[in-house]
Amino acid sequence: MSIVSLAFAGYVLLVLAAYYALPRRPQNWLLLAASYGFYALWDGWLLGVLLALTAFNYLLAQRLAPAPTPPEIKGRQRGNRRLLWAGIGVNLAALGCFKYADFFAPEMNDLLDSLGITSSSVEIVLPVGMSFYVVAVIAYLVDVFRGQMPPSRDPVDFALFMAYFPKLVAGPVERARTFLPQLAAQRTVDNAALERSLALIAFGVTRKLVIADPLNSMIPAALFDDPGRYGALELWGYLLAYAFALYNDFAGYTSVVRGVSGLFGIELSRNFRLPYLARSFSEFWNRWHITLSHWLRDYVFYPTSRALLRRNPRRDNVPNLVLPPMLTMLASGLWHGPGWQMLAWGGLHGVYLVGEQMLALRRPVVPPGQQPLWRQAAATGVVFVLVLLAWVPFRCELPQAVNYWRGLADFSSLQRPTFRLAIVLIPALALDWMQRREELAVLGWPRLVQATLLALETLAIFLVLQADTGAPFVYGGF
Amino acid sequence: MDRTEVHDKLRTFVLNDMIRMPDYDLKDDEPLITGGLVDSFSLALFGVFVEETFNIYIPDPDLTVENLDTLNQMIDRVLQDMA
Repeated sequence: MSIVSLAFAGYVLLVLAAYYALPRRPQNWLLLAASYGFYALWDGWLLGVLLALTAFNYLLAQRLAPAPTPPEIKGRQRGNRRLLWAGIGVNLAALGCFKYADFFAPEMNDLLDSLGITSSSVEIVLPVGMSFYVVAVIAYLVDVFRGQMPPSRDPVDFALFMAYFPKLVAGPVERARTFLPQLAAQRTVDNAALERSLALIAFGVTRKLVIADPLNSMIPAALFDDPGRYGALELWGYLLAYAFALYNDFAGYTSVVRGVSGLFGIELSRNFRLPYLARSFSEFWNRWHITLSHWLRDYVFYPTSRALLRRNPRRDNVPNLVLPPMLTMLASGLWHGPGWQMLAWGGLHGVYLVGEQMLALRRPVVPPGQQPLWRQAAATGVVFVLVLLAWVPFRCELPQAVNYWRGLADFSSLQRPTFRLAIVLIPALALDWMQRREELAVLGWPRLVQATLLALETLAIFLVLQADTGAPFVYGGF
Repeated sequence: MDRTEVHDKLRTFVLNDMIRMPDYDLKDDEPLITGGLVDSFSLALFGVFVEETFNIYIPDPDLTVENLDTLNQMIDRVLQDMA
C-alpha cells in the first residue's frame, strides 16, 4: 500500500476515527494493531520477523541497565557489555541474513552445486522497513546500556516504538528517548497542529507526485545500464534529474508520514533541510537523511572519534582525521545495501569529509555567514557537483559507474537532455525556496496566496496523474 | 570549581583547539556551530576534553548543536554535570 494512495488515506481515516473515540491507553493498542495490520498488508509472513525482534529486544533491555554503582567518570555508566554486544549481534545478524544474504546467493548456489547438492535458487526478500527499525532498536539498547534511559516496562509502547506504521516503511529513524515519552503522554491535536500536519502532507505529496515521479519517468530506462549511449550534456542533465528525483522522493515520503503522524498527535523528526544548499560536506550530512546521519554520528562517528582522541588528543593526528569519517560513511554505504557500489558511494563521501577536515586544519576559520556571497555560492556549487558525482555509484553497478563518470567528461557529442526536465526542476527549486527559512513558513502567508498555491498543486497533481508516472518510494527498498 | 574557572578553561580550549585562533574575540553567547566557526564533528574533541579536565562524561547523543552551540551552553552543561 503506497502512502500516497487513496487506499492509505482511507486506512488512516478509519484508524483516526477509532483513535479519537478512545482514551490514551487503548489508543496505543489501536495504533499497534493498525501498525501490524498495515505491515501484514505489505509483507504478510515477514510480520513474524518484526514480532520476534520486538520480543527479543524488549526482554534483553530489561537486563541491560547499569547497576547503581558510582562510575569511574561522572555520568559514564555502563551496563552488561556482553549482553549489549549479543543484542547488537542478533539484530545485525537478522538484518544481514535478509539484506545481504541475497548478495552472496550466487556464490552459495555455486558452492552447493560444486558439492553436488541440488538446490532451488536461494532468494531472500528483505522485510520492508527492517533496516530502519533495526538501527532504531540498536540505539535504544545502547542508550539503556549507558543508563541514558530506563528500559521500557510497557510491552505495548515498546512494540509500537518498533512498529508505528507512519515510520515503519522508511523511517524517520526515531530515538526511543524522544518517541516513548510521547506514547506515555496524553495527545491532543488542536487547529494549529492540524493545519501543520495537513501542510506537511500537501508538501510531501507535491514533492512525490509532481516532482519525483515525473523526473524519474523522464530518465531513459537504459541510462544507468549503458551510459555510453549518451553524450556528456545528457548524462549531466539526467544525473541532475536523478539527484532531484531521489531527494524529492524521500523528502516527500518523510513529509507525508510526519503529517500523518501529526494527526495522531505524535511528532516525528525532520529528515531534510534543503541539502543541496549545503556549503560543506559536514553541513550536507546535517541536512540529508538527518535521522540516519545523526544515528551514524552518535553511534559510529563519536565513539570511534572519542576512543582515538583519548589515545592521542591531537586533532591533526592522521588516524583521528581519517578513521572516524571513513568508518562512518562506509557504514552508511553498507546500511544502504550490499555490494561494492554502495561502499564506493560511502567511501567517496568519507574521502570528501576527510579532505574537508584536512583543508580546515590549514586555513583560518571564516564563518560562512561572514564570507562574501560569491564564495558561499561557489562552496555550495562545489559540494553539489561532488555529491552529484557520488550519486552515480549509488544508482548503478561499479563498471557502469566508471563509464558514466568517463561519459560526463566526454563532450564529443552535444546532444541535450529533454527540455521537460527544466519544467519539473523549476517547481522543485520553488518548493525549496518556500522552505528556505522555515519549513512551514507558508502557513503565515496570506490566505489568498495559500489558496492559490493549493489550487496550483491540485491542478499539477491532476495533470501528473493523467500521465501515470507513479513509482514506488526509493527508500522503501532499503 | 566555580563558573569563572570553568568559563576560563573552556574558553581557552575552544579558542586554541576548536576554532584554532587564540586571538579571536569570542562572545560567550556567540553560535559556534550554527555560526560556522566549528563543525559539529569537533564536539567529539569537546567530549574528550571535559572528560579529562572536569572528570565528567557527556553521552554521545547529547553532543549536539542544540545543546552545545555556544560557550555559555557548554559551561552550563559542564556545571550541571559536575553538580
